Amino acid sequence: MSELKTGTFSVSDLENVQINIGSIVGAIEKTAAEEGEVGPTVKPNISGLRDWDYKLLERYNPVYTPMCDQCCYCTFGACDLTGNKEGACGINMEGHNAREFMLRVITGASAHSGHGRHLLHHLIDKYGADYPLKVGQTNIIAPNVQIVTGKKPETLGDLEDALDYVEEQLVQLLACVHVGQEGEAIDFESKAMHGGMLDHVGMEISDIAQIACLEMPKADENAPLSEIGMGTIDSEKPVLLVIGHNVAGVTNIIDYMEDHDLTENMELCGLCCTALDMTRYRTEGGDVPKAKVVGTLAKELKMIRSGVPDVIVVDEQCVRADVLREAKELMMPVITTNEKIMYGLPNRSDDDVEDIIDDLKSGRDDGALILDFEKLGEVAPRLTQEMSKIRKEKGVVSLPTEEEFNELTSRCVHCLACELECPTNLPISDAMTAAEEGDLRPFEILHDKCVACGRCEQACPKDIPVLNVIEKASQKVIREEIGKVRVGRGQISDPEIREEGVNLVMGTTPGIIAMVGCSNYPDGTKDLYRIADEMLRRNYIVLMSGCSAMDLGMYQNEDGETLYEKYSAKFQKGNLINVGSCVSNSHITAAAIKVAAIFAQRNITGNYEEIADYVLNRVGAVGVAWGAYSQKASSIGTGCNRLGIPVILGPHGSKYRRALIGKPYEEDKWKVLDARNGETMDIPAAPEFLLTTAETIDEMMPMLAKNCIRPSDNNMGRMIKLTHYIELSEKYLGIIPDDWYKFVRRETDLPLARREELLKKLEQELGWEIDWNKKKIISGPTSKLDVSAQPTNVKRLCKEA
Amino acid sequence: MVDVTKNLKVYTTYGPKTAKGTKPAIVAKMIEKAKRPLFVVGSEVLEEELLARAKAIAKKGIPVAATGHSIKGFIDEEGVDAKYINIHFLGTFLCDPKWGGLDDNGCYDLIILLGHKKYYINQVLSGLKNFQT
Ligand code: SF4
Ligand code: SF4
Ligand code: SF4
Repeated sequence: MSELKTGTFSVSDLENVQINIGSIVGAIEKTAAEEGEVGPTVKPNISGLRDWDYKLLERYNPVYTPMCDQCCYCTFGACDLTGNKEGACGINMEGHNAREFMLRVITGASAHSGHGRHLLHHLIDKYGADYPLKVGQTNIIAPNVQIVTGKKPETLGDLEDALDYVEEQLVQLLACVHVGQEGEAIDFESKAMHGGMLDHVGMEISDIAQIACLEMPKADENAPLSEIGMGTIDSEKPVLLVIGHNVAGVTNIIDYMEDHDLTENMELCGLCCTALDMTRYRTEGGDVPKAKVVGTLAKELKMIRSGVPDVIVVDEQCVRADVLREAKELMMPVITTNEKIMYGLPNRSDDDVEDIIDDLKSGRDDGALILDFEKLGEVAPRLTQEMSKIRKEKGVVSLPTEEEFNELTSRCVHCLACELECPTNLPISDAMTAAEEGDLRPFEILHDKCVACGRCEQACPKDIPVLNVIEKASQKVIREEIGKVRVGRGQISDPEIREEGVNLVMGTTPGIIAMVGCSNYPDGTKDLYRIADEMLRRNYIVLMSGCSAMDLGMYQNEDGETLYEKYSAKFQKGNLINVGSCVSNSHITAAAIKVAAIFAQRNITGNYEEIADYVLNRVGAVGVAWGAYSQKASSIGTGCNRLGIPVILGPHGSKYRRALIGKPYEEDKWKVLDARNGETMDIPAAPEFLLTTAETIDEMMPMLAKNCIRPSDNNMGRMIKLTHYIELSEKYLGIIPDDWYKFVRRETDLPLARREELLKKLEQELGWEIDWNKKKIISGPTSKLDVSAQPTNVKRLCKEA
Repeated sequence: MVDVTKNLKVYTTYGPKTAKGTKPAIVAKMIEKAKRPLFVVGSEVLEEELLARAKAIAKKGIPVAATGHSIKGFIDEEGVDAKYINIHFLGTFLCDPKWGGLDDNGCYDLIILLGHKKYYINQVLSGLKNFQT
């Protein structure tokens, strides 16, 4: 490098060609000087981490459950691939489904990275490329960026280089979807992993940029609480509803409202992650959130059909495609603010504010595309006030009256068409019968489980607006939907990792349960409360983000407190943390990376494989995406998987059509190397999957505890984890698990209070030799306890290898 | 006996090869002929009436794979051989001839399903349909 100098030079004979090497040399020198040690995979290309993926995929089998047995990607088809047959291009069912899964992953990663690019443009424009990235008490500002790209960004401008890399790789991955190239499922799988990893870089870029510029809480364990729920909205006031994921334009609305003293006179509320990020805006230092959260995507149609919003502003990602059509019915103008959603509306970005407001309030236009955020900031709140008056005067009604309700419920012929069409097969017909008899409770229960997709209405031969019926019947419970959610705190700080890292690696903190993703739950939102409540009582660290973070705030305990009010938000055993919105999921993987960096002093720069191997073998963390539905949820989960973090999905997650499941009976797959000498060590099957589904919460509880077990657990840690595994299995399944003994290396691994009872079982049922005088195990265990062992799956990391 | 094939709505994976309705007598014959049948029950079996039927079937000597948290309904039940397993794992293992089964006696040749979420079992069956060997 020393021979290269920054500057410009010309090549003789090519006078017109100038090569500018300033940024290249500068970047290389900066990386080398600042990071010290640099690992082997700086900005890996598609094949850069293939060996690592293959190691994972050797143990965790891709399991395909196709949604549709055909492929219709090109005009050779449609091809019947049933029974793993080949299509006209030679791809088989496995390959095609791996390709389909990869496509979902890169779609999700593109959504986050596209969001990041939009935000970064906007923020650099507003704050300048040199704006410092202050994200809280940390020396590792962007762990995902650093581990993947080898760079340590310090300013907004530094993030562009990492985002350029992500975008380039995503294009390369998308190119692989084209017909007639990759034929092997395993390489589509490796590519999916690559996409998942890129997603966490893209998310991190988006979130640290907004944390730094928009005065969001910075690794703040005292982040304030925000109101949440349809019941918190005062419908007497003008109501402005914002839907989506990108808070950029909404900040202008908030600023305008404050500058014009409108905050008290109108309601600003949001759905999905924009809502969460609105509450983060300018709450650094504990300021009161400037907006209310209505809830998740599952509330979109419900909120619109309630007739409460006067104006709707949408930005990007999880926004229903029919917002404009639905809103039009109820005289709610819709403003689109991002090129991802334009709904066929006229572009009014360059028009006069008064003209836009006139056209919308007169109903000449149903909505407007406004890409100029200054203009949006003024139009949206002013229009909301105007529309509130107009809509009240016109007496816009949405839900059916009592008489209409009675007529609708009696119109039902109980054909069950709606139930078959409903994604969760909800018992609509019985609820209709009960309502006819004056009992609204079945509909109220249904309201909690209904994701407001509207499919039932289209199926009904009697044209019953089923969703409106559900919502009308549930007015009482909707009014009571009032909760609290912790404002997203952002990263986990270095001091927190320093304190807690050792407990996580030794297992004395039994694990991290990261509840992420959307709201397509099999059995209503209360599921999340049950999981968090149980695991928090057992001292797991529970991390929340996105829609899951919102739904958790909707339930109170017997003392009328939400779990956010009950538990502190410090990263420490038994605490509950909301990292933030969808893009804040990157802080969950970042926390695992930081454990390796800070507690274990591993180099993370451009060193993905070593760190992922560390996480897989030593950090007991499990992701839960109980209601995952979006493509983004698949990319977030896959990014966790490549980093060695297993993820459990709810039953709807089976429709992602691919899981990664280990086979505990294949004994040769459950071995690691000891990095001290390269010797092979047997380990029990945990984590026994990287991605799977569970049928019910009750089934998932013991799965959580079991899959936090890691080879690095010391005996205190293993004892704690095994105690929870056995207890949760007994509590939720009524049985002691079949494989509990496989996690016992020594008598000290056994739950303290039940040591004698379990030693007896080991002797009598499994034939283990026990020394009853010393209460010791003499023989039997297949894995050994050696606290100084260095478990690894990567041979090059072993000393004597 | 009721003719269950009448007015039957098949809720199944889309595609060229879908499920068909058939008469109980034919199903009974299939079970009778099977060498290693497995009765796979989901959590919805815990509803009282369905559970009683499931137990009656299991007592005919068919081993039970209790998925979800359905095992709760079979604890200490005389004459029922039930073991817990996750359905996604079960679907995977059933495609693997090397799997020893729930009792180490080998894989199964017929599965009977009861009490599952339709959309979920649909996916598991789609995996089996395409990848069983
Ligand atoms: S991509 Fe291959 S399998 Fe798909 S339709 Fe075209 S030829 Fe058939
Ligand atoms: S709107 Fe609700 S009840 Fe209707 S199909 Fe969708 S989830 Fe089911
Ligand atoms: S589809 Fe319509 S008529 Fe049929 S059960 Fe559902 S609500 Fe009733």
